[in-house]
Amino acid sequence: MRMEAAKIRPGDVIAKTLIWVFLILVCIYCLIPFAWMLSTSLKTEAEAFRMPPTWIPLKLTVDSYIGIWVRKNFGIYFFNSTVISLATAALSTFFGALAGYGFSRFFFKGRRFLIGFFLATQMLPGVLLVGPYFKILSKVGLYDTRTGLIIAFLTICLPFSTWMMKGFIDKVPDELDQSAMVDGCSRLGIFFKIVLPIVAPGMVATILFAFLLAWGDLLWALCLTSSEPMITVTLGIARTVGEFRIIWPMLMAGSLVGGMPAIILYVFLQRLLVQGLTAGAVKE
Amino acid sequence: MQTASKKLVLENISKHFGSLVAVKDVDLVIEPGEFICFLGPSGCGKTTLLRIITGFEQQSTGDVIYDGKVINDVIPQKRDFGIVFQSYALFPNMTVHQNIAFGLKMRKMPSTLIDERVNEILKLVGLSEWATHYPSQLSGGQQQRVALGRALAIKPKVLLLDEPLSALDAKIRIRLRTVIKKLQEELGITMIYVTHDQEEALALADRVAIMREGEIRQIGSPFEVYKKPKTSFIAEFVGTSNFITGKKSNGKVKFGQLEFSVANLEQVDRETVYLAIRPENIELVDETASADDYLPSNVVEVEAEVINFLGAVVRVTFILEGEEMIVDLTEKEYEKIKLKRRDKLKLYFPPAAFHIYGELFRKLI
Repeated sequence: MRMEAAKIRPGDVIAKTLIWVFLILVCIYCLIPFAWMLSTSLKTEAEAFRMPPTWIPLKLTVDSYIGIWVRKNFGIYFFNSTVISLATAALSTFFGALAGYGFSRFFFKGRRFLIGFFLATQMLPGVLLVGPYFKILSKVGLYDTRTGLIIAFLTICLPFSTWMMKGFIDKVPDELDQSAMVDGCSRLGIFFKIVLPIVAPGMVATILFAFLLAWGDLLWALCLTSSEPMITVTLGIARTVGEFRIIWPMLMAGSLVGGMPAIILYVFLQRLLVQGLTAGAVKE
Repeated sequence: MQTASKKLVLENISKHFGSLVAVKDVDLVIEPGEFICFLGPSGCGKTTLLRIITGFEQQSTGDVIYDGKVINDVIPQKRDFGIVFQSYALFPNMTVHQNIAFGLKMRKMPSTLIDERVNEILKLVGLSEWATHYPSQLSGGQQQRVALGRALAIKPKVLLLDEPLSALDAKIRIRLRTVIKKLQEELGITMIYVTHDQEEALALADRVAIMREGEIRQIGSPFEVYKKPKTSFIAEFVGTSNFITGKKSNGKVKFGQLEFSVANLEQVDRETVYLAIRPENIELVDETASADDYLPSNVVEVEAEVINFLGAVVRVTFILEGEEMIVDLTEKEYEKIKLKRRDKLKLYFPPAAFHIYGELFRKLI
């Protein structure tokens, strides 16, 4: 095979340079807040208020990081957020997959209406629901509990998880179910043994979606919890803002640490997430 | 090795989807160990009928009877029938071994017996080396053999195959066709095979059921169906036929300027006559033969328009009275006359080779 030297045209160089400049600018725009958070979190409280502000701390300190764990109960907040987010993600994905399988495979009367109704519930803003939820949870003794918050989050996550999972399950040929059925497998057996393993990337995408939604929530945690042992990371961070004083380094340290699980999860599951979100986009 | 199959009876089966009649009044007795093909064009109801037999679809009327028992309400899991789909329907998350073992596991067979049975099946379908591979690592032909193995592993009472070879290329299709036929004969299992490929149906089946618009239009051995097509649709669909629309006149059929002598024409009482003749039944006139060997009215001289070499035969397209027709010449005949495009050739239409029909099926496209 004859190797040909790649011809580089000046137009290509300019276009590529412009694209790179644009991408770098976008990255800077996105990363500056994080850089500022990191910088502030490593400053003393006094330096955080210094004018003009400094990008590189004059006196590097990790006091704020120690502070959020020692003085601010971040351990408890983290525990609460982890339990609530994981439970929300797992339950909404599991039940979403079950419902999605039902919608995908069973053609019953009112199916289309029900699917539409599921989606319509997503149109209601959370603010509208939080009041009634406060009432309901108070009545059944679940106000200011992790269980109450999980149930509330499920209301928001479940319809969307169902939609997402239905989309992934629709891509699994019906013939696989029928083959398994003829082999003697029950519907539930097909769901667990055949369908779920095949839609695993889709499940990861759904789990991530639900986890991030629950992890990043402030409104519901603010309205449905009150006591210190029940509050979540986001609420814990919000509480660093006092009436007369904002402890900026601690707020920034809390925000950075609070964002970490989501970032780590995203980095590790990114491949599966992309696979899940693009599944069926092209003919295999 | 195989469970003895019993008689399967379809009694007055119909299936309606709203106003659409997918299957209409099908009565059929399938003998134990028989290989039957449902053959028909797309939308003729053959797959629906197969799905009714499997239990995936509930018929609107009629009964499915197996071994003397009505099984209408028996769910697919309990019918003990096997199925092979066109798309293979292998479980992508399982290896070849796991795929074949799946049905046995569902039947709670001890694992040692499962391994034994899977190895037996792998040997049967010639995939012993591929047991630990995943379906995505196999070729289409291998995947279909796994599907076949998986369906056979459970020792089904009846094996249903829904266009199992349609997704494969021609060579593999022919090779797998032999594999299926051999397996069926060795195991003596009842097989119901759905296809739109007439060649496949004729090559495989003991009996072929030709379906159209939800009905079985003709059922018989491949030879019967090919040689004595009951309707012009079957003459056209199974094999290839030339069609002639003529008028009865003086005991002959007038077709343009030609007048063909046709056997059994006296039994037709209508004026317009539809004739079909297979391309291989049209003869090349042997110039050395005696004139008495041919009825002069049935000898025509035509011009070769297109010559297609098909391997065993040479197909020549010609125009007769404005109608495009084809004749199949043997390689020997072709060699003898050294036919080229636009050459003249004399053809003989034997009176007994014509099939007479009351209506003419014409393809719309």
